[in-house]
Amino acid sequence: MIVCVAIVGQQNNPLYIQSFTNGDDALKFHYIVHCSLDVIDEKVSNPKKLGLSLNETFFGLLYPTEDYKVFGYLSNTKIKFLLVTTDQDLRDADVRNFFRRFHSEYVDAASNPFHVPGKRITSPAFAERVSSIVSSFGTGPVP
Amino acid sequence: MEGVGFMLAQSVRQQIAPLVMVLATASVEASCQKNSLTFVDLLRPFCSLANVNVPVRTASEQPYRLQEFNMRMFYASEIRQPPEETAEEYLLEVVNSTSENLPAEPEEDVQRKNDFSAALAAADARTPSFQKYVKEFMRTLAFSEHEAVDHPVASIQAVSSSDDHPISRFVELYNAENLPSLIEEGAMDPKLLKLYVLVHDLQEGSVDRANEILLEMRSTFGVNNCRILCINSGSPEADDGSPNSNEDMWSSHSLRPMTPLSASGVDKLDKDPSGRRRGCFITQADVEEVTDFVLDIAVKHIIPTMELRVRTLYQQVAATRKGLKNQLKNLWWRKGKDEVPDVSNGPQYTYTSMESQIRVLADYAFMLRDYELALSNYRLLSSDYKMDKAWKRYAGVQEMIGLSLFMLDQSKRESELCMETAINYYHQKSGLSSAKYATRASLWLTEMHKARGQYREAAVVLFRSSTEEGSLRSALLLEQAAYCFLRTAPPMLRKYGFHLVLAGNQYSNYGQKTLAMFVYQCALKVFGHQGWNYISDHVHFHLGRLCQLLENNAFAVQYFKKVIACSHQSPTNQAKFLSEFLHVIEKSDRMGAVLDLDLPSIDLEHVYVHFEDQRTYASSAAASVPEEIWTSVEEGLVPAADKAVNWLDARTGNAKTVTADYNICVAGEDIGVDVEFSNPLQVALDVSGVSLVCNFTAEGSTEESGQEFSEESTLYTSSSIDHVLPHDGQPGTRSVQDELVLREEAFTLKAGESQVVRLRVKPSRAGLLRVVGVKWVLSKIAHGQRDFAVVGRKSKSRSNKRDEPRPHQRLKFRVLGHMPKLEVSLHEMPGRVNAGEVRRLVLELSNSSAAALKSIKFKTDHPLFLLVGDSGDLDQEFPVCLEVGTDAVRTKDAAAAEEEYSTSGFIFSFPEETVLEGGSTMLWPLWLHARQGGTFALNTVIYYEPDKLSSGLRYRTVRITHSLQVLSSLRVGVEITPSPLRLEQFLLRLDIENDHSAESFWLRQVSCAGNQWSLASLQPPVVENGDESEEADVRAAYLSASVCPSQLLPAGQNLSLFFKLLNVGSGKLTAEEGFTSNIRLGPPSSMEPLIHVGKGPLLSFLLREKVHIKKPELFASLQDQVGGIAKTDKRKTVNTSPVEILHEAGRVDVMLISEQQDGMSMEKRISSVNDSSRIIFNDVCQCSVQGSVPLVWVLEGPRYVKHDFKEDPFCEVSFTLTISNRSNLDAHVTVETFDVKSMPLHSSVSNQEKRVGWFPLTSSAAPGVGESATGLTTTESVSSSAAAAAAGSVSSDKENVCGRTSCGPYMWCNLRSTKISLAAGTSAQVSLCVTTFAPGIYDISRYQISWSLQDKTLETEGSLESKSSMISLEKSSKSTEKTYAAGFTPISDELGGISGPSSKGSGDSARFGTEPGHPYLLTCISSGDDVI
Repeated sequence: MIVCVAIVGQQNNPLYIQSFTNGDDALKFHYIVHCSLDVIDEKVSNPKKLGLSLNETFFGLLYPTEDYKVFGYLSNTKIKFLLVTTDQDLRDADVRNFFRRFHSEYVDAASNPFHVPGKRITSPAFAERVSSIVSSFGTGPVP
Repeated sequence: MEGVGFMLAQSVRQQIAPLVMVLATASVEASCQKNSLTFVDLLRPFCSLANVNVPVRTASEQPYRLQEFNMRMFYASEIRQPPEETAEEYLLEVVNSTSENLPAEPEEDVQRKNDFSAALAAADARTPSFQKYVKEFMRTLAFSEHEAVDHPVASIQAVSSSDDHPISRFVELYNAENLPSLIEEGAMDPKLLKLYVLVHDLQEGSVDRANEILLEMRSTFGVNNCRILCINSGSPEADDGSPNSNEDMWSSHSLRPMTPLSASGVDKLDKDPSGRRRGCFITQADVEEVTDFVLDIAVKHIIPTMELRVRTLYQQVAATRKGLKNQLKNLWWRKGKDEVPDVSNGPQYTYTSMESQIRVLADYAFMLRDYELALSNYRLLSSDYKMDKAWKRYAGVQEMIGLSLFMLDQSKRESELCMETAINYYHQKSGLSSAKYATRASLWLTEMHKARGQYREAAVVLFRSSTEEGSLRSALLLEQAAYCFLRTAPPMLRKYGFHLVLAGNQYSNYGQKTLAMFVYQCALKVFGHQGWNYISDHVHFHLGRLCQLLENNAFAVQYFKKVIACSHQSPTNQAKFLSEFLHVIEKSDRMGAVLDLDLPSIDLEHVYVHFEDQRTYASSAAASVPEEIWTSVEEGLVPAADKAVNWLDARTGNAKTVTADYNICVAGEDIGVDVEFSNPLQVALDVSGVSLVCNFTAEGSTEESGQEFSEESTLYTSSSIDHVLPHDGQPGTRSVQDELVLREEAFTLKAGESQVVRLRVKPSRAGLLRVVGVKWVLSKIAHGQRDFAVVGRKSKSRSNKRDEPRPHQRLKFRVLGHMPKLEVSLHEMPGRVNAGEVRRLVLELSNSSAAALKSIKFKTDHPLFLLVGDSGDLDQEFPVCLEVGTDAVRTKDAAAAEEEYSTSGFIFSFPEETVLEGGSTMLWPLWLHARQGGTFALNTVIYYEPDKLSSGLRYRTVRITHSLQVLSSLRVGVEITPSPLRLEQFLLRLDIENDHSAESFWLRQVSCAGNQWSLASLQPPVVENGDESEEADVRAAYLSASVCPSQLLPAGQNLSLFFKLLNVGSGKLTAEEGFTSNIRLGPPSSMEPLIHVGKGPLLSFLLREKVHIKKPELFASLQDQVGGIAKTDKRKTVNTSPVEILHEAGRVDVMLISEQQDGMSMEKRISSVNDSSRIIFNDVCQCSVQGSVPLVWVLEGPRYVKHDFKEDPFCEVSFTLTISNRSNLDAHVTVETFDVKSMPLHSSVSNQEKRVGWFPLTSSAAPGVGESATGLTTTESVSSSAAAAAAGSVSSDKENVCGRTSCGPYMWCNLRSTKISLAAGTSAQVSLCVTTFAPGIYDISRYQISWSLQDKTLETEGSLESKSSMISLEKSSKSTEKTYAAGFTPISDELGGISGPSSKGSGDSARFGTEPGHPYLLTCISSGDDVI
């Protein structure tokens, strides 16, 4: 289950962060997302060492904790997309697919002329679409 | 060792060094105590031997040299592991001591740029204290039973020379109760190298006695093992310059005894009661002696002993364990041990056991830096312990393997693996007690990682061990982990911050508030300002809490302040934060202090200033009307010269005056500032005591304005500079209190609500006022203040478009002295009226100030709607005052109204003598006539001047605005058709439609104005008795049921009324009665008094309307908001040619007065405030009386002619044809007469052709006249009737007479055709003559009039009719089947053609027309006959 998704801007400022749990654990996910930015930075700063090809946007698993796994994705405009999940074994393709959709939703939302780049995304339509992506995650065609 | 690991290797060597057990007598201690030192402390600084060169050989006879050497000295009593609690307490004290010298105050955001370096500096600053802690921590773990590292190598027995029986004392010292417990337990080898030291205190006496004792000792204990140590050669007074004044030599090396100390105990230790510094008796000579002593012991005794021991042990081990045979034996033997049940710590090994021996060998080898040997033995041992399942020992050995590998700088990976194994085994296999050893191993591993630059791994190790630790240590470890993240290759600032937060949490869990504060503050630098608001809230909140717990409420307030405006948090959190904040403020002594609060959030950029200079406003609605509208209304009212007072002109006039930036206001009057407060939280906020913060500079006594301003502006700028400072002091608060009246507001903001609050300040004196900001009290506890943003002013660029702030954004005021102020209210102003309704309003003018005012003027932008009445209008009850009364009427006509407009633009000036004294009130009537439907804003300006001209403003205006909704009610259309027979008579059709959705109306009266016109009912008037009948022109009439069933017109219905309109000429009416003609509608019994339309407000409205229609462009400026309908009308009626004005007389104004009464409506009206009757006055101005035919003609002549045909067969009758041109165009008229044959209309009729136009003379034929208009078609029926048949028989001979002739029954005798030119509005007469030949009834209609109009203006005739009503356009549709009067219908040609009598159809072709003559019957009677 996806418990949290986040979009982080160029200045590592949160643009959108949404948890999908019932509890009041926004703080926890903020910390998790915030810390995973370090890993992204690290991966960006020396991509060869970590075996990433040059044009790869998907970072794979960033940050396993006891309960969660954090996956990362970086757009070419240095917008970071993060996914926190409780699923222990995920197929890479699923995660990639998720990020691709998530990214395109972000592009849609950021293309809104009333959206100020670098500011938080407050569009309820965007939130709704993201939550639909999240809820459809993992329920796709599983062989 | 070289390179990165050097520091660590150094510390390992110091940490794992041979241990020397010290036993000292009380007197030795006593002499040391003179220096505030213990004996061990005295020796300890000299235990690090840096420059030695000791040759050592390894077990395999490999020589090498020790360049440096360390020893550890401990009292025998200290050689034991302290109890758990004691150790923890001790460590806690260590932490406490480090936390004391933290950087206490967080330097607030000095440079944000150097975050990283600042964090590094903080980390560096914390490192020594952590290292100290680690040292102490490891010390608490020393002397464990599973390791031999801390087993003493030698023992030093020290006896003072002042002791009695020194020799026996030496023996006593080394007895069982003084020895460490480990020896007793058998874990330690009791056979130690013993060294005997005689300590001589030189203060006690000469060294002679000591030497004696030494000799004795030597004889007893052997020469080599005995030493003498002389100390205290100096005196505290004389050694200031000596090097031993350096206290640090001891203090840095002193180890505090690990017994829990009370606070006083600590004091005693740190400060000697005698106040002497440490080592005050120690001289340089003493130091040298001690150094020599320690060196001697180390080089001559300890190192050789250890070397020897290593060698013997090695041989022993080699004998038993080396070689295949031994290994096999060992394996076998070990297996046999397997049956032994597992104990948690594994089997007990005494010092004699092989394993302990190997361990000692390995440890000694390690200490002698023969790491290869140590490593091989540790490995040997580890397999043994592993097989024995002695996990703790196994882990300990693994730890040492790791260290050995590190020291050898070999196989990095393996050393780490060994450490990992050690950690794991300490944790998992050997129970809780060894958890600390796991931590120790982790620390070693961390240090190893760090030494190799693997900070990330180090952090991971630290973090993991912190999770295993359940004490304060975990916090320390987390903090260190955080610092490790800081040092990774790309610094991982976020993980650093996160671990700091974790550490802070742990610190506060274990009560280390200062440390927690410190780490939180460090963490804050990472999290702040980036939008991670949940995190920064969390940190701020905890910082606030900690500050609160540390009694540092001021800081707590600062931290909580940042948290409270957290709209993203859950409502519970919001409430929690807020209550904590308020609690802290309550607790703190800064209760009254003003804070820069964010709650409630205030829109500081957008404030709206309400002030009144010369422009005052009657209501807030008026103030919100745009200035442009007011300017247009005020045009002509406000003296142009005075406009210079206006800020705009003032600026352009003399641009450099400082007053340009100031708004003008008047002392004693409120200035309002609209500020928007909004509550970002889900919690209701109680805001009270909201008021403005102002700066006020009173005006000096001098009244010279120019200088004064410049003076004051300098004064002002200085004060504004003052104001940049914090507002605690409020410069000039004292005087502000006196000179300003600030009103405090209080309100409650619900969750998420925002509220615009008008804050007011009232300056009581003239001066300069500046509104700085706003302050408030949150929940009656927290005082907040924010300053308004300064608008404009900053951009003082050279370019012309300087960013001037709008007057409503400026917060600076020039306060003028007192001025009179007029307050205006309009009473009885309805919000909603029906169209056409006439209301009387009362204008109340009250002078609220002390000064008197004069020259009151009134102007409105809707002069058609509002009218200033006469002062007398108020005396009478409404609507009685409208009725036909007795008093004399002031009459006006359209010309007068025009005059009025052109001179004053409908400005009403109150009488000159009207002076409103201060405090007095005046009432004045106003008339409201809603002439058309829609919603209007009636903007009205009242102008006045102060009675006494003061230095201030020369005039002021009051602006009043009212919104009025006008519902459509009755729509009235008028169609006037000229009577075909009478020139002066017209048929007036009045179409009334009730457009109102609910109301019904009583039609009360129809009147027409215009001094040439008089209305009459179509029915014969019922002449009533009494005075009414005397007035010839005012006729009461009732309409029979067939015409109008009721005078009540219910909603949605329509009605047509018909009247006769007579052109009576102006001469017939007296001026007294005005020029009105009224017809009362309703039953004859109705005694409703007539409404006098010829006077008072109704007349004025009518006149204004006329002016408006005639000169719409005059109204254009005022009528912009009336809408498109009026505009289209205007365009069509732009016809101000002189002809039009000339034809003024040809037009008539028709008015319908109706009434809406309570109880008459279909729906029961609920509102009781309705006045009993509401008069509705619909006027249709300037109705054209022309009809669709431009010409009207009448044939006049005798009706009966007696003629004796026997005498003269030709009877000549003369007629006069009067032709009148009703159009406004010149006409050329042709009159033609024809005989029968030439009549084209009847050419098809052959049979009865002869009889056309002639009827036999019968008595019964007369009534047939009515049908004679269509007589040609009805002759058949007439002739077939019995009467006609009779008549026919009588006159059959006559018929033959006529039939014989070739001409018609009559002949025109004087004229065939004539052409006349008729100027517009004129008439002409043509005399005609007809000759008849026989008695009978003749239809003299065989003439034809054709005309052509001289088109001058290309204006169509029909459009003139459109003036009759404005509303006609909006609702009429072409599809309607009804034939309305022209006023109702659109100006469409078809409809106009149908209703009009013209057969030519379109109005365009009416310009050229031909009409046959009207029927005219002439009866010829033969005078000779006796027929009649």
